[in-house]
Amino acid sequence: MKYGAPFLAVIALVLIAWLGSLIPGMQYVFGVVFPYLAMAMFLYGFIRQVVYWGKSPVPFSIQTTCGQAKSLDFIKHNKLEAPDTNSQVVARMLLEVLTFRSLFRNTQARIYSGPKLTHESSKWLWMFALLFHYSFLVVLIRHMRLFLNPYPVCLDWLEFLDGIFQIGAPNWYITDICLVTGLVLLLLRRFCQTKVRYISLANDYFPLFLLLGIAITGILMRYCLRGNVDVVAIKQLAVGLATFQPTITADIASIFYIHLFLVCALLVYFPYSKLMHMGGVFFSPTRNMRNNTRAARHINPWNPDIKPHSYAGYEDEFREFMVDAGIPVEKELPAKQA
Amino acid sequence: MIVLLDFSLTEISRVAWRIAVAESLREQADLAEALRCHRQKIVERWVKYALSSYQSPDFFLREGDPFANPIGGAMRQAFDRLLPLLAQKPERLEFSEILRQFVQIRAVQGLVPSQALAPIYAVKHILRDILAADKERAALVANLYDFDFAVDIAALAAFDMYMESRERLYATRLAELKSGRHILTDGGCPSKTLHPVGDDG
Amino acid sequence: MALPKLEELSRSVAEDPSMATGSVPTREWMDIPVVFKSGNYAYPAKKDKVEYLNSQKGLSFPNARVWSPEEDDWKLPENWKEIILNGLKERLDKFRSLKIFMDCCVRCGACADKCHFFLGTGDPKNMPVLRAELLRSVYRNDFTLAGKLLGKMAGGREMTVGVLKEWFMYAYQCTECRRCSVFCPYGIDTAEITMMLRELLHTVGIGINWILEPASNSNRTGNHMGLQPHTFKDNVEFLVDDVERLTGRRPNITFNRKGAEILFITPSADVFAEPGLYTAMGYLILFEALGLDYTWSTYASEGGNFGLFTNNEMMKKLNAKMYAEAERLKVRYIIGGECGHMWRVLHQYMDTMNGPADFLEVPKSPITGTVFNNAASTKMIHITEFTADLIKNGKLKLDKSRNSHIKATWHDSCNTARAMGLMDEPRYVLDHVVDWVEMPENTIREQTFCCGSGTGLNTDEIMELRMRAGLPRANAVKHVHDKHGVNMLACVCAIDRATLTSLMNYWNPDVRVCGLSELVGNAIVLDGETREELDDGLRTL
Repeated sequence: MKYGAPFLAVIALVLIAWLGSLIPGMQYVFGVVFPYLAMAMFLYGFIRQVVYWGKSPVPFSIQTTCGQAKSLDFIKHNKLEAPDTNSQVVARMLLEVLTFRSLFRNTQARIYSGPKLTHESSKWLWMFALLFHYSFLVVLIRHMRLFLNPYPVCLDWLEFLDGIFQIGAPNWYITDICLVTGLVLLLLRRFCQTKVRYISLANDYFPLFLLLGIAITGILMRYCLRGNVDVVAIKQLAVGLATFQPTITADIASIFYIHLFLVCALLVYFPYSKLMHMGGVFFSPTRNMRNNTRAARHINPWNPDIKPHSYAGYEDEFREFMVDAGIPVEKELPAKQA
Repeated sequence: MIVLLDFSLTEISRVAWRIAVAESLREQADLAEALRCHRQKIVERWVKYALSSYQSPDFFLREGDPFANPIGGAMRQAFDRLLPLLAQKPERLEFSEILRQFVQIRAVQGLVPSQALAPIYAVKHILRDILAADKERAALVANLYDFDFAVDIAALAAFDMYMESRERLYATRLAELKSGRHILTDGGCPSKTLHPVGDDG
Repeated sequence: MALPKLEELSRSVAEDPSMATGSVPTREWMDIPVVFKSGNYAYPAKKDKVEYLNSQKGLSFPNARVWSPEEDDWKLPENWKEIILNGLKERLDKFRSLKIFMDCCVRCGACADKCHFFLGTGDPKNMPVLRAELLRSVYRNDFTLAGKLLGKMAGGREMTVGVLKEWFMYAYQCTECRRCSVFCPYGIDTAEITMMLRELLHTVGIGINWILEPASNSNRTGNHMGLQPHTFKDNVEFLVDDVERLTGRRPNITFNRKGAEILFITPSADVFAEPGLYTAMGYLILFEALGLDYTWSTYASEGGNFGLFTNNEMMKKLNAKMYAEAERLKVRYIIGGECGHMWRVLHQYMDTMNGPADFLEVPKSPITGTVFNNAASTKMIHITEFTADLIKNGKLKLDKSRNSHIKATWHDSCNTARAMGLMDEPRYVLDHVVDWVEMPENTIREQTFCCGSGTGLNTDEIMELRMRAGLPRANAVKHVHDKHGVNMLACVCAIDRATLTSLMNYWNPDVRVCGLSELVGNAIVLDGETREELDDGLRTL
């Protein structure tokens, strides 16, 4: 089953962390050893993958032009969609990375509407993706307060903004809700849209389940099982991890270890999976190249030495016809023998 | 007497005929009303049925933009326009116009002819099913002779269109050949012509 | 009570699912084998063509043989799997794009309904994402850690003959139009995937004749048609005769003339087949009106490059003729005619492959003095850029009313739109020569739909497939035909001119197809012309 197995895998991870953290002495393994190991594997894997990509050259300039190229003076150049300079490329890439521009493009004018159609706006995917990615980013930044001591004051501002609606006690963060909503919507999309469901693989469900697991355990910790969670001890551990002097001072609830272990799993899984699209998007030759290939030569490092079928060979084969037809030749016909 | 009888007989038959006409008109009106009332549902199921012969009908069903989804769009439009006509006096030419794009699409999709045109007949079954479920109009099921006849006419019109489409396809093939591009593949092969060839002008 | 009958109806007609029929797939795509039958594949390349190409220096087309897609045994070389996997490794090392496109896809589905082949056939494997997965699954299995460890669980699958057959089916149901790449959040370009698939297939002797034969013709005679120099010249001269008959002016033309200022290269179809002929007549009239110092070449008599549809070596070898000829003839720069894939090669590959063209000068219009800095390195400009500049500077005497029998619409060719960015120049020219309207918004410019027969798929044995694939384009044309009375589909692509003609013949018989230069040529008022009322422009018999 494409989604059954990944789901069970995440459940298994939860169980491992839960049961494992209950064994005396294993807290250190789950709280210190695994995080270091996972971080090391993440960094190694990430760098390895980027180097692996970087090792292959970009032989041809294959940008996809999505607008008018730079051309004659009176033709308006679309600088973002057919960039001509490096700064235009940077602008195009920034829009792509920060606003998912290509997904946004996924718009279609609906001119004809038959009898009651289920219109599925094409912007959904873009919205879900934005919702998830930005929530995740903010949540990640908020977590920095655990690792930094003292933490920068801007984290306070961020937390204030994130909790500005002042709902519930403890105050709910908007991004926590958005993160889970985003993930659930992305998951539902995979389940409900036949087309997407058909192309989805286990590798598409696993990260969604894993991230949901992380988000749910995190939320449980903050809002529901708060009484059992010793935040001071966690902060101490986190700062310790960040400063390479990890200590576990008190018993921390299993839910924390589950959360942490799932994060470790994510870190290990990340570089070997499609999640590397985070790095890959910067490398995409159809987006990150200038559309100036006629103005400046792009170099192919392995340009093979291939000569055309030579003119001389061509003329040798057809000289007689060419002379007959009055087409100029390099070498005249040999004088006719009597 | 006889004259009288004859007269009255003629009169009776005339009245009977009038009644019959009125009856049939009323039925026709009833059916038209039923089709109007269930139009959406019938077209929905009709399109769904027709699209079930593609590998990924889901997309064709959902995407409403006829430019992003020409197959689904063409079908929906054709069936939606065809349905009310089926309760009226069938005009073959009208059918042809309405079904043109639908049939043109079906004619190039690697379907055998019966597969290509089968969806048109499906409406007979769909209508019966929907009427049967509608208590007020269940009685209409017994008298769908005219409707079926109209569907048959539409199918025959589609059959003509289908043949026309196939013939046009072959004509297009021929035109391509005649335009000279066959020289691309039917010209002498280079390896052969590497040997000296005679002057061909 | 009625439903069972409906099911019976379906059963009686849908027992034989073909590629475009059958019910909703109940099986995973990996488990559905391809079935080849007459009409759903293009004919394999003839053995002697493959052998000829293999004998050419710098090219490799091994394993030539007679084979048929419909037979179970494709007579693959014994070590075919090794060849394919090594070939894939080699290409991963040579193309970063391939690695990125293999690794980055998240299967979001944004591309799925953007492909004209998917829209026309409904076959899920024609969704760009699945087309790429055909290769990606093999890549995962043999080249990634996750795939090596988890195999099918990680979306990997072993390279088998079945997979190879799938590659052949779907690599030749993609026209490399790049529409999907516009919508992909990572810019994944299925054209790259298709190119790699085709390159790999060639290493085990699998290719189609409609591509390899023109390629070998082009190598030997200089053009796809295999026209020998004298025939090529004759053909252009016929057109000169026609122009003289219609306008009273006889264009002055030369072939292989040394010292001309400009070398002009256009797809050979323009001098050979309708309706390209009229486009070529347009060029002749334009150049005659300007008194341009230019020459045709019989050696570099092909603008198109079927190497683009084969492999990068073939592309380079065919393309190299242009610079070689420009250097031999000592021209200053080159003007290229109207063609789609030709311009992808010229814009994105030529300079890299065969440059730098130091022996040429930066193109400068002899009429207006405009310097084309956008072609400062390749020294090759598009005829539409050249024409737009002339019109802007008022150097052409145009009579728009000569095209009053035409209501045009504009088809952006895939390659000029998405691999070059030539969009507003042709529109500028159209504004000055003809009355025209745009097709619906999401079917033009960078979102333009392919004719459905590009990349060497314009062969008649797959006519139905082409008609299906061209449906999205035809549908948009139908809309403007019904709404605005459009009767002419204009474009700047030689393949379009041929294939859209067939497409229109089938879907919209009232719409004809023409090149932009035909409309320009028809509108030009020549000095000293004795032109009578031509009610069908250059097509008047």
